[in-house]
Amino acid sequence: MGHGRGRIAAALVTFGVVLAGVLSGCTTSVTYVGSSTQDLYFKVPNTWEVFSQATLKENGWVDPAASGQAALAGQSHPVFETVAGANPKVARSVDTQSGPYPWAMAQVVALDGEDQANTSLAALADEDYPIDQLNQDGDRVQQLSPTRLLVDGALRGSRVAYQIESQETGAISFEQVAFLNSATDKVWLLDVGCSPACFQVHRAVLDRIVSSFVVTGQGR
Amino acid sequence: MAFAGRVRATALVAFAPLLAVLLTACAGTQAVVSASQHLYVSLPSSWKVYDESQLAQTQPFQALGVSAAPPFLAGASASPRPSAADVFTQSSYPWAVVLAEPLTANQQSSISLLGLNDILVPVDQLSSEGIPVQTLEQPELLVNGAMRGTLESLEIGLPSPIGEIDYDQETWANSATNKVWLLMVGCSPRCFQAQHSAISHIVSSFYVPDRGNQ
Repeated sequence: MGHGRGRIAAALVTFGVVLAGVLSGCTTSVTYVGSSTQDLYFKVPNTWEVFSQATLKENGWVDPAASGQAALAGQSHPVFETVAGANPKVARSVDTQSGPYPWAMAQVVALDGEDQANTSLAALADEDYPIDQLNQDGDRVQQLSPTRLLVDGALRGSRVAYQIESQETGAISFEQVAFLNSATDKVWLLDVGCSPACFQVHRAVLDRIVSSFVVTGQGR
Repeated sequence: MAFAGRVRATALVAFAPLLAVLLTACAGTQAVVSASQHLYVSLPSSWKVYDESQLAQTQPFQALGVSAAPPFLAGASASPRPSAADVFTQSSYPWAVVLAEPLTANQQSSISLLGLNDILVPVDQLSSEGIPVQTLEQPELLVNGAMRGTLESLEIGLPSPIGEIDYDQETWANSATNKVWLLMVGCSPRCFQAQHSAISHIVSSFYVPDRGNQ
C-alpha cells in the first residue's frame, strides 16, 4: 500500500456529504463530515473548514485521474477522500500537513487482491505514511502512544500516533484510526495532525476528532 | 495473490449443524463438535477420531505448528486399520486435523489472509527452504459476518515420515484476530485425487459460527 495514496482523488467524491449543523440538532459546536454512501463520518469543530473537492484537486490533495487509472489497473485506490482544516491555509498544499494548523483527512480505500491477501492490523499503520519504510530508511520515527487494536463487529482496526521527520514530508505528528472489513477489501481511515508543536497544543481537539470517527454498516 | 471470493450465506450456514446432526443416524456420519470452542465438522462414521494426547505421541504430528495446549485439537483417520500416526502422512486413506487455537499478540498484529495458510504448516517458509509446494486450486476467500477465512488446496513434498501429501485446509479468524479455527483434510496425492469428492464434502461441513466481536 503506497504512500501518497491519500492524496489521490476519489472518483466518487461527489457523493461525499457535509452535514454541517443539521445532524447535530441544536448543537452548533461541531460539523459532521463524511459520506453516507461510504459509511463513515467524523466530527470537527465548527470553526474548521471542510474543503471542496475542487479546492483539494487544485492543490494536489486529490488526484481523480490517478485514482481512476489505479482502479482500471486493478490496483488499490481511494474511492473517497475529504479534508478539513482549522485554517483555510491548510488547503493550499499537501505540504501544510507539517504546518502550524491542524487538519483531518478521511479516506476510503478499495484494496486490490495482493493488498487484500497481505494486509494485517500492523500494516494499517503504513496506510498513509510509510512508517515501516521510514524506519528502514533511518528517518526519525517516534511512536507517540501505544498502538490500540480496535474491534467493532465485523470491522477490525488500529489507532496509532506517530511523529515522523523526513526530507519528503518534513516533521509531522499525526494520529490515525483505520478499520478493515471482514473481506479485507476496503479500508476506512482518518488521519489528523500538523507540525509536532501544533500537535502538542491541539492534542485534545485532535483526539476528540479521532474518537468521533465512525464506520457505519459494519463494513459491508 | 488473488482470492476467489465466496461470501457464505449466514442463514443457510446457521442451519447446517442442526441439519447434519439430524442426518447423522441415517447418513453414516459422526460429528466432531466443541461447544466451548464453537466448531463443528461432520466425518464419516467409519473414521476413527483421536484426541490431542493421542496425536501428540505421533512423529508426523511433531512437524505441525500446534501450540502446547490448544483449546481444541482432534485428528481422524479413514484407514481400515486406523492409527493416530496416520494423521498428516502420505497415507492411502484420508485423514483430518481439527484445531481451535488462540493467536499470540504478535500473530494478531501481523497475520494476513495469506498468513492463515501457515498456521499449521509454514508453507511459505518450507517453500523458501526448497520444499516443493504446489497450489492445487485457486485459494478461496471466505466471509461469514465478522469471520474471515481461506480455503487452500496444496501439495507438499515433506521428508519422511510425512512424505508427499495433498490437503484441503479451511481456516477462519475472528474479527478480533485473536483466535483461529482450522480443518485440514488430506492424504497421499493418489488418494487425494480418488477421494476428493468425499474430502470436499467433509471440508464443506466445517462450521464456525459468526459470533460478532468474539
